Amino acid sequence: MAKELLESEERQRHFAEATSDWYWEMGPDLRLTRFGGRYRELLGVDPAAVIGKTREELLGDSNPPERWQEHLDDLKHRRPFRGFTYQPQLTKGKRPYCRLSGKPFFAEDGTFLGYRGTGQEVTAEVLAEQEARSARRLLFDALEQSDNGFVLFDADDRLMLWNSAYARIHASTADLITAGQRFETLIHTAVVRRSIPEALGRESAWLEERLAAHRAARSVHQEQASDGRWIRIQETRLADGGYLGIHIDVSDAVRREAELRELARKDALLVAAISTTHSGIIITDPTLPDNPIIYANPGFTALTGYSAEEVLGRNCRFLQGPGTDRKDISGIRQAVVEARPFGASLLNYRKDGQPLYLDVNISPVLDGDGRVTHFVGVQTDVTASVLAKERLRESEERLRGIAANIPGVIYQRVGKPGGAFRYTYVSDRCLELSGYTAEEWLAEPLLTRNSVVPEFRAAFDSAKHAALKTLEPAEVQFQVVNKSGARRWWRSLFRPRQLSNGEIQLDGVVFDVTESVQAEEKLRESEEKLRSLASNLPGVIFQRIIRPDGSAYSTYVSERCEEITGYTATEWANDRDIARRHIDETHLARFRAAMRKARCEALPVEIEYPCTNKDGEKKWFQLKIQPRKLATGDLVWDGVLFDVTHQKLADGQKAELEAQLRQAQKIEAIGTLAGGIAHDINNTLVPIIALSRLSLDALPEDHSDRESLHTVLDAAYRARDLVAEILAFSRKEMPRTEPVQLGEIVKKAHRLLAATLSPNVAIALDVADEMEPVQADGNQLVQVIMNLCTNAAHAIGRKHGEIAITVDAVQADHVAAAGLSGGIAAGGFARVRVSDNGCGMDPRTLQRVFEPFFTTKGVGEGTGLGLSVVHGIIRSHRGVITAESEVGRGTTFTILLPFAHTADQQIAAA
Amino acid sequence: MSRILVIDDDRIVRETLKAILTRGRHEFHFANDGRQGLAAFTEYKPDLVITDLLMPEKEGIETIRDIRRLAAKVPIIAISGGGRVGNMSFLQVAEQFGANRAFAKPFEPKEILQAIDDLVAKAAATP
Ligand SMILES: Cc1cc2nc3c(=O)[nH]c(=O)nc-3n(C[C@H](O)[C@H](O)[C@H](O)COP(=O)(O)O)c2cc1C
Repeated sequence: MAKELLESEERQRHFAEATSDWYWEMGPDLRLTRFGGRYRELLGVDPAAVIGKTREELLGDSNPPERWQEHLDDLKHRRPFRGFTYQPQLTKGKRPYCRLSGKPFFAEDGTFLGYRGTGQEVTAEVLAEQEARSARRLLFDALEQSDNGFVLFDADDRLMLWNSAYARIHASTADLITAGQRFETLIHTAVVRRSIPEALGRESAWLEERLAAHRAARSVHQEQASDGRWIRIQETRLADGGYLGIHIDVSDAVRREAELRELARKDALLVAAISTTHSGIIITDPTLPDNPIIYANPGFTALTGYSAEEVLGRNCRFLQGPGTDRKDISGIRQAVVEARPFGASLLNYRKDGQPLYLDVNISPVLDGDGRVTHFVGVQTDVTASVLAKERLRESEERLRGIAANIPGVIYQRVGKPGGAFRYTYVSDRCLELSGYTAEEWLAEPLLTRNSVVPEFRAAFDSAKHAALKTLEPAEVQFQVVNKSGARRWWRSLFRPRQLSNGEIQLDGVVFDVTESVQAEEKLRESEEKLRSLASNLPGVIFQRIIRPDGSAYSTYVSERCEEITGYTATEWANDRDIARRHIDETHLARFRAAMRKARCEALPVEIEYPCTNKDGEKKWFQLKIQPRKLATGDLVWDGVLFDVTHQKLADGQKAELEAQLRQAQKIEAIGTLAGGIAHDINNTLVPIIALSRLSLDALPEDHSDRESLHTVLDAAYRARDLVAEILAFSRKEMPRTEPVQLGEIVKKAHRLLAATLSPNVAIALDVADEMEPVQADGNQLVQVIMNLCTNAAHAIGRKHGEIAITVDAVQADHVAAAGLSGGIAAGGFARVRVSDNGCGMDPRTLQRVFEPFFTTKGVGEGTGLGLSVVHGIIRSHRGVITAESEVGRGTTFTILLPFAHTADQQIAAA
Repeated sequence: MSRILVIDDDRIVRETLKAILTRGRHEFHFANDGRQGLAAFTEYKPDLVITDLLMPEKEGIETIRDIRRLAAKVPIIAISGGGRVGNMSFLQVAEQFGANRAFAKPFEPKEILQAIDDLVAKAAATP
């Protein structure tokens, strides 16, 4: 049995040795116990060196732990293992690979006894395998690097290998690209997903074609992807029946190819274009002397009149002439030297000498090394447009000239109805008109409207809107505030025009009409003035036209007509019988004669006549007619009719005034005479008084002659006083004057009088408040008042009586004042009235009352000079004194003295 | 007693003044007009001059002015029968031109004599 067992063990070992390199055994503690076979031979290690070692001790660092962890697990769980390959840690230097298989063995009672197994030296096999793996990896990496797609299908047309470029290229089916996927499924899905533009509409045919190509030993075809890329697919049948596909993205190449095709097409066009264009095209060769023309197209010949043959080999400058701007030419020269493009407008000349305006653009042509090989010049004939521009400029110039000379601003505005209008043209005069420049108007469309004075804006807008609606010309007048802030009247006339783009254009002109508006206003004012003058004038103003045929009509009769004549203006103008109707019969003939003179001889007439107005009142009318002949032969009468009734009545009074004036002059003459003799009388009185005095002094008190001497003295004194009064009267000089209050003067006189007047005479004072002062010699005026009062007291005599003194201000009537004082101006006067209720005077006495030496007083009561002196004083104050009296009722003296400022005017006037 | 020069063209005035001055116990000398009066003034050397204002040949006011040039302090009395110059009477004007006093004709002997005494005394008192 043991032998049998042994034999069987032996047998086993032999088998093991035959199928492996060596066999081994491990005890229950997993330590190696035995080696057999070619262990030493193959690994070069003495088995004795590893007997007793555990697997861990033999495993080197180079074995990946997971590999032997699994192996150690197997051992731990007493599991059989197979093919465990590892690099045992043997001697240094040699690192063989061993592959082990083993099986646990147990005692009959199941006790674990260890492992038995075989080992093989597989170093060469492992290394070869490693090499193959890294070669595959390299290949795969290389494929990954490529932008081209690589794909490998096996003989069953199942996907085996592909790189990511392939997946990228076939993005539409990327989700199906998995190992084992069938080729047919891929292309079918691509078609179904409509990602093959070529297949659209012919899906099954395309699939068939695609499959056929795929099955061919070798095929190349292009396919467009859904995103427009072009992919070239090259498929090759491999020896093993599989297919290798290379998918190349050729989009760029396809595009370039298309471009190239396009380029070629264009080249042909270019040639056609160059030979048919109207532009001149020339090519010069700067490498030849003087950069000559080497090509000229037919356009050049057409433009310049020179044939290509004539110009080849010549420099282009032969086109230039006297009018050519040298600046442009030197610009070209510079550009040629610097080999850069250049453009200029040139004046050239045709072969026939006609001027030719050319836009010339030259550009250098460079070779690959940046050297200039040619210049290309393109000439465009701009003669027509230059001439047109010239004409436009001329016409604009003309327009500007017109605009500048028209007294207004010409403008053009464009806009949509309802929208803002912008200026498209404003003539220069707008600066003068508005203070704003044309540029400001153009830039600020609302400028003019905003300048309009607010109360005129509505009118301004509605004129515009109405014109836009009706498209009829319109005009509007309004006030604006110009830039300097002045208010002006503008009048705008404009014509709307419908433009094709729906906008409306306003062609207009604005004038400043301030002067004429003002003139109109002035005219209206002056008409108004005339009318009010006519209606306020105390007369009738009229105008009558007498035609050459003798017929006549009135153009104007002023309003006062009815008031003065009783006839309405119409009655007065149209009633042919009006003269006979109102003029007193006895004066009718005289009146008609005057009218004839005015009509037939066109001479001015002035006539006064008595008449009866419509109401039956007796009147005196004064008629003045100023005739004038018109060029038409018509005769115009400018006439005025006054009611002079009052003047006629006043004429009587006037005669009286004249008498007073004469009287005043007489008084003055007497005064002068008196002045002359006063001196002599005074001298005469010297011995009479002085010697009488001396004699009296010499005579004893009781001498009988003393009384006589006293009488002589009394007489002499009276003579002396008389002379003094005469002298006062004869003073012609201005009194010593200052502004004085007449009221104060009168009060002062009153105080002085109160003491001296007898108690039967009462004085009543009535002085107006706040009077202006008069220019006067106060003392003299006091003298005057006292003098008048003394006279009044005399007139009252022993009866009870009253003297009333009133002081007030009056506006003196011109005529009255003039009549009384000879040249005194009308104006404000202070008036003093001294009235008494004494005996009064008869008219004869009254008339002489201011004459010197005229007195009503009894002998010894007065010198008779009193009132003439008063008269003199008042005259020297440029005043007036008058007297009214009635016998038995009393007398009133009235003094008018000019107020200080009135007096100034009189002096200035004198 | 003073030495008085009287200048007046009117004989009756001269006669009257003679009577007055005699009464006042004054010495006196007469001239008929301004020119004579001026000559007399230098010769006679009066203590006081009485002069009329309205005279032929040389007016009184002129005479006063000339005398004042010769002798600033000799008192002068002006007498006049009337008339005015501008706003002023002759008498006012005479005072303006240097007369110490002015009397209107006719005058009282007493006022003349009193004026002479006053003026001469005053002139003597002032150095
Ligand atoms: C391609 C090309 C086209 C030209 N065409 C014109 C032309 O049409 N008219 C012209 O007056 N000059 C033309 N010139 C300019 C003259 O040939 C020349 O360069 C110019 O007169 C300045 O040189 P210059 O000062 O030597 O004359 C052209 C130049 C070149 C290079």
